[in-house]
Amino acid sequence: MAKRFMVVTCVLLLAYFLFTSGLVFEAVGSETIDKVDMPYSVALSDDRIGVLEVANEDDVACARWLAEDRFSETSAILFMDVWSTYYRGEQDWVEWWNNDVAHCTATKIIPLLEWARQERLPVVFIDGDNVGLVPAMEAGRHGGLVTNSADEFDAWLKERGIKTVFYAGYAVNGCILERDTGMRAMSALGYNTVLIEDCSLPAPDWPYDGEAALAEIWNELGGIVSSEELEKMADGDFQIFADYNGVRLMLDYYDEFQKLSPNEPPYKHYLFFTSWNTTHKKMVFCPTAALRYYTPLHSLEGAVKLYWKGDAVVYLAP
Amino acid sequence: MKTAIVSMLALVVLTAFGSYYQSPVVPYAVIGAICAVVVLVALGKVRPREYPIYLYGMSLALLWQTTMLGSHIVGADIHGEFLVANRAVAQGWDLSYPHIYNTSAVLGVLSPMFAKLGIPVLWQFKALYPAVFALVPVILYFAYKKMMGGQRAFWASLFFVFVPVFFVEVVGIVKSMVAEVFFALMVLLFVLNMKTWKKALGIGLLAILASFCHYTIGTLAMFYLIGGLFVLLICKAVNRGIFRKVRMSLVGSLGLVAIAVVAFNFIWFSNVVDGCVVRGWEIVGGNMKGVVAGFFDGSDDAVITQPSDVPAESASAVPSEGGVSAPESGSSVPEESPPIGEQFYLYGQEPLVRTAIGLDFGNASVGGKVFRILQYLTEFLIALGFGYLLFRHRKYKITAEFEVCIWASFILLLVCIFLPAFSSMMNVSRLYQITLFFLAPMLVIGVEEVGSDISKGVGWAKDLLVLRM
Repeated sequence: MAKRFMVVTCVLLLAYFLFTSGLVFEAVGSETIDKVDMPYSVALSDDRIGVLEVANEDDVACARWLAEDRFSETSAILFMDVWSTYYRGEQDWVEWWNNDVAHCTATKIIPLLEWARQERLPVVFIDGDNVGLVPAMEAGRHGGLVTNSADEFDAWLKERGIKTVFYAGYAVNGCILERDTGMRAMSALGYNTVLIEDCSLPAPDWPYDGEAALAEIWNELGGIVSSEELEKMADGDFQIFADYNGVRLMLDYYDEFQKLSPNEPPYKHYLFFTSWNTTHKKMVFCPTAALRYYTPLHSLEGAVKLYWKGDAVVYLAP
Repeated sequence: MKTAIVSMLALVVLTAFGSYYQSPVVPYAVIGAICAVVVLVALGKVRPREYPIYLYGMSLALLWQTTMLGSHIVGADIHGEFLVANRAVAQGWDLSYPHIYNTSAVLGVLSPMFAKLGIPVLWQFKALYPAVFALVPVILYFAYKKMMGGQRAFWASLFFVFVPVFFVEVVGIVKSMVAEVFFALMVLLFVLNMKTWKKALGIGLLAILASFCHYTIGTLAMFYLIGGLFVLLICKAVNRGIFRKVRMSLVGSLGLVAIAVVAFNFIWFSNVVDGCVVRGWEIVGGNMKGVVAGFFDGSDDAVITQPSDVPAESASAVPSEGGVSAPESGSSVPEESPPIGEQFYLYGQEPLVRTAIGLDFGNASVGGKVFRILQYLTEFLIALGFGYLLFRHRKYKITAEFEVCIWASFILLLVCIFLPAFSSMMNVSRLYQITLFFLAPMLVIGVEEVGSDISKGVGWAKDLLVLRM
């Protein structure tokens, strides 16, 4: 082949390759991926436009949690400071809060505990100041752990392979968050910590506002569920979204995400899945890179943030 | 030789680690290295015996640039394959498991075998199968070299690599990666000088192996055997050019092989996974019949049925040319296209088809327009190249079998473009890539012959001017 033709072919193919490699797409800063325009490269442009949402280890951990972990085998319920009595403090608010606490304990916490025992879920009782727990809970009589020690708690969880701890008790903006065995501390140790909102109460006039505490739990910790949702998850009735085909996945979820986040186009919600032994429940799973396209979590109306590892989040949607 | 091996080894290792840790520099380094190699080849600084090494290195770097990204697999359909492969590793290949990907021996047999050898499924998908797939351009190089010499073969193989379907789409379908190696070996057999019965037997075996790996590639291999045979019979009847030398024994052998391959495919795919692949064929055939009948009747009632158990194999969420690839079979007519009959029907074809024939040129960005011009140029040169080949047979040692496959490729592309809704039932970009197994050399012939004619024309013009002066 004559050299001049080699050069011509070289020039043609190089020009073609500069486009097909995605270099031109990246160089001009194009973001057009919803229609046929120019070729783009995952390696060059994924970071900028999130075209394929490359998974990292946190994403894989989340997916494995969904696929391989079973709710009852890897979750525990912790009852924080469900004391038998509340002593008066310097202010009168304690009295009426006692009534709220008594009501919550009787109508929510005790039934939750009975349900957990029926389901053979691991339960933990924390009596932070050794005040004495509500007798009706019969803590320590039906199995479960009674402790104030974070180390003991951690070892107990590891021994049982527990990865998620659901918190009930008092108070949301106090001990539940702040104790050594609380949500912040256990989250720092790598556990997924979720609040059962209707089985807990914030303390009024506390330095840390109840609403701020809930926001912190929602945005930075494991999220919030209700006892009804918890029961549904254990029963397997809770609807989560999944599929085994990426494109169909996005299209399946598009309607749901339209309800949850109406301003986000579907291709930005690349939904990662893997779950070769899942039981065909549906799941929503958002890899790390996709998070930046989400509106703030509280706008995912009705969605429950179930599992969190690093930046990867698992939601359950009703 | 040492330089070639060391440099390409360094390139692929850098690509692997850089992609895994998502270094932003690596993709640019890969592009730069490839451009450098290509320029060196053009300037004659690379010895022809090193071409296969450079081809393999460049191909693997491009593939690993995508597959090695992050700590998990990348793509869309590949997750379903991951599912099936892991299941096969854990429980054996259960042919009754209702997933169409379960028809693939890559997932059902190869993956468990490699897992037993200590290679986890994840790393098979990320590293091993792309390393196997990178052999395809090298095999094609040797095939093309037989026909047109090493230099032309290099450029043809390089064009095959540079079409983004190679390193963006197919890289997300593990079973296709292995199947295309068998398909490439089929192409090699088409050009080799062998005893007829051995050649036919080899082609048949490779077509069957391709079917074992991937139902789509197997179907296309079947198409090439049947379509190629049909064209061969016509050309033999015309009895001109290279077809004068075609012996009836070749026609007969290929015919028998085609029957055997078709029979195997029907028996195999009828019995595995509840016959879902055969159902898919029936639905695609039914859709085509309905659409064509509706088109000629002038009715708008053509209904495209999607098989419920055949997942839309989208190849990747990443489009080959800036748009989402069409699902492989049985998908609905794309939403953007107007109903057939309301406009010129070609506007109802799939987006990539409309791009290929220039119908969306006005809607593209500036960069998109420039790319389209380059794309049209390659398509034009391929067509011209084939035209030149028909009239200049003696210059190139194209075998009759290879030439009929070129004809079959053009027929396939024309059907994609002009048959209403055909393109929305098959993955167009993947079809184009398969046709390039036979059409890539036509680009090089086109460049050379057009260039040669232009040079001659310029020479004559100069002589004319001189004479006048």
